[in-house]
Amino acid sequence: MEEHLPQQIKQVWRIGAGLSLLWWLAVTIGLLVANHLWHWPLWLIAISLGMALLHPAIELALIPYRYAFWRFRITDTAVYLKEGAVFQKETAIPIRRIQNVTLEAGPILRAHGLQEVQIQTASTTDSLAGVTTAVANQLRDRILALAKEARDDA
Amino acid sequence: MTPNRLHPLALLIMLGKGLYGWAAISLASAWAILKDADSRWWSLPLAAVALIAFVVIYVLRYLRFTYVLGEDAITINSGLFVRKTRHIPYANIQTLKRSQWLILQPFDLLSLSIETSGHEDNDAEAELVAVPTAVAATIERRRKQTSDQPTAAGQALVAASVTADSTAVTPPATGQATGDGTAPAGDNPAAANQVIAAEAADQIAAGVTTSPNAAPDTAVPDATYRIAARDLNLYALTSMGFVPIIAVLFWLYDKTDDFLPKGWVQGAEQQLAALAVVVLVALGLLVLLLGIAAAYLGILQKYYQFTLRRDGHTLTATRGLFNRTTTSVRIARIQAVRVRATLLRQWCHLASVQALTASNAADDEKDNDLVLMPVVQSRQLLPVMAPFVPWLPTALPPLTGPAATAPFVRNAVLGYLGLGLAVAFGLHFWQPHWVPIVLVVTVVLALVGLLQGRYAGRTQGVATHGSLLIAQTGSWGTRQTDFMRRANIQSLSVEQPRWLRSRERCHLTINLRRANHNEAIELRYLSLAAASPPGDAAFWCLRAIRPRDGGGAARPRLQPSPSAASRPWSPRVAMRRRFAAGCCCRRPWFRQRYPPCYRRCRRRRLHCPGRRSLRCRHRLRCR
Repeated sequence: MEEHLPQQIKQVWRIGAGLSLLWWLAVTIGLLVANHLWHWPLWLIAISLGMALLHPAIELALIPYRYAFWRFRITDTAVYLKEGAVFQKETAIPIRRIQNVTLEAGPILRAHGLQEVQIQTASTTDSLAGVTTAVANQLRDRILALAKEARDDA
Repeated sequence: MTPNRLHPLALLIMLGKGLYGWAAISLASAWAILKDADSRWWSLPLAAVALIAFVVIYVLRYLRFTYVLGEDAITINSGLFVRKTRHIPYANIQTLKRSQWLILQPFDLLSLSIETSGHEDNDAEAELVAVPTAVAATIERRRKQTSDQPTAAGQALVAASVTADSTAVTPPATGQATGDGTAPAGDNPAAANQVIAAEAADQIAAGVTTSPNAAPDTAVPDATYRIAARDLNLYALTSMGFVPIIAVLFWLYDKTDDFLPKGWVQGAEQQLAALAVVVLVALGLLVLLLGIAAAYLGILQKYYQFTLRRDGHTLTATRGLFNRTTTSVRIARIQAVRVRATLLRQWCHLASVQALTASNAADDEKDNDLVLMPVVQSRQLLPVMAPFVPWLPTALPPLTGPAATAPFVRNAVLGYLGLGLAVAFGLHFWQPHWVPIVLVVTVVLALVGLLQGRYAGRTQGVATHGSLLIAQTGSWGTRQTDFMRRANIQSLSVEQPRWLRSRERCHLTINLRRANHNEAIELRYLSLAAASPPGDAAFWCLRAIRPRDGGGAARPRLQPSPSAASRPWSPRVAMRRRFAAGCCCRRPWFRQRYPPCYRRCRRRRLHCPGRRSLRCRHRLRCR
């Protein structure tokens, strides 16, 4: 009964890697300007250029791995989130503890028709990176109904 | 109801607090102004204007601050430019902190700090700086009244606070973890309603059974504890609070050449250099003793005549000499009980007990937890605490340690070595003559890490006791034992790196609510083969066993555990578990398609004609 994230999330992650590439390039250009104006050292530029190459590359390489090993499951009593293969981490959130379910979507997620589902307890927030709007609404209604039933039973 | 103003002494206290907050900047700027004689003609009038403006602003703030004690809630109007109205229902009040400075005592006034479970960081929901003692008694009485009449008042409060939410400036938030970096849910009325409904249901479920004429503070308490002078003495002696004082003294000494005239400082240093080494050592010892004495006296006056008492479902802690503080919290609101002992106190067999609550009942700036007992003998701790917090066990059950202590030692040693080598590598390019010293320090730190890792590995332990989870961790020399109820655990996380899988070990993280943020308790290298937790961590956490039901009617809502393959159930057991899961229909598509509310008994008999209702879990409810 474990469910995967939708396929579109991989595209969203790729765009995210592209954005981090742009960010590092902006930092490099800023350092170049600083070097030209105020003679800042060159090794800073080397570091930022290296990061501009490495960070997006590593992110892109890890996208299929992330997607393949991300699972979630909602049962009557808890929401289980499982991620990772090298560092396998499973988070269990009892339905009784769930206070709130928030659906959030930035411009990139909205462009792909996805929404981020944030499950909030009194002290933690766990999120599903992106699910389609229909599934998100379903999940939210289901979790809140289960939470309400759990509280009514208590 | 006419709004009340605070007592005029409140103005003095507010001014004092404001000055204390601005003390550093004002002292520095005063010194800068006095030093520079040239610009005195414009800087002195400017400083005078600033001072007058400061006083005027505080006077206006005092005049604008009013409060009303309504039937169901307190309304506080405050603010100078931005008018702020706060509406706090009595039932939402989690902790009430009273403190009475010495100057307020002859006037019979006190400072009141009201906390609910959702509010801004580091600030009480409302703070009444100087009000008559009767006001505090009234609020306390009305709070007890609302908690005694959950059904009638609860609904009224839900209605009142729902309408108040639309007008109040600070609606009760749902306690988001601000450290997570995700955007908060915002002022979501549905969420606020849920929280209020949850709290009302909480009160109803808590089954408060005290009589409607709830005993005021003067009635005989159910249990009282007063700290013994000997214990307090020992606690003050074993505190390491002198370290920051010494640090502050050194910092002050460092700054003396800014404050004092140059010639004076140079003369003093010359004289010091001329003195013999013995005298210098004696001076150093004197400074150390002064620091220790200051810390000792500070703790003595802070916990002077510490008293803990229990009135029904409320715990009240009173302490202090110059500032008499009273903090009260409802037992149901305690998220966890934490027993802490620094290394020095462990050797003396002492420990202190704190309660983690969802609000900021701060004893001092860095300690956000309510101190239930500053010091107590470790052996007598649980028997002494039992009358105050009823769900604590009377004896500590045996704790299961981690699978091995070697990983702790290895991690600590590698951590220090890595840090030292990185620093040495960096210094190699910058200041090469420092490198040997850094390497020597690294070796020493690695040895310290060995001891530290061994201590951490041997101190860690976990156990379950009924519906309690007891987790003990030791890092940096402080042993910390947490007693938490299953109902207060917000979420669990089990992490298993690949290389631990063959050895069946894992790391467990338990999330609790503490003040306004998350408290993560991490237990590492636990053995999965052992009994729950952690192997069954999530499974254990989710079992909805309600202690009030008694043994027979306990309804475990079991689900097949995450790794079903590792625990093969016989078909008979599987069927029994399915019955217990709430739907006795053996058609999986039916269970999945229809929502849980549809599976109530009567309808199930219509839709699952094949099942006999004798097997139905809801048979008890059908009648």
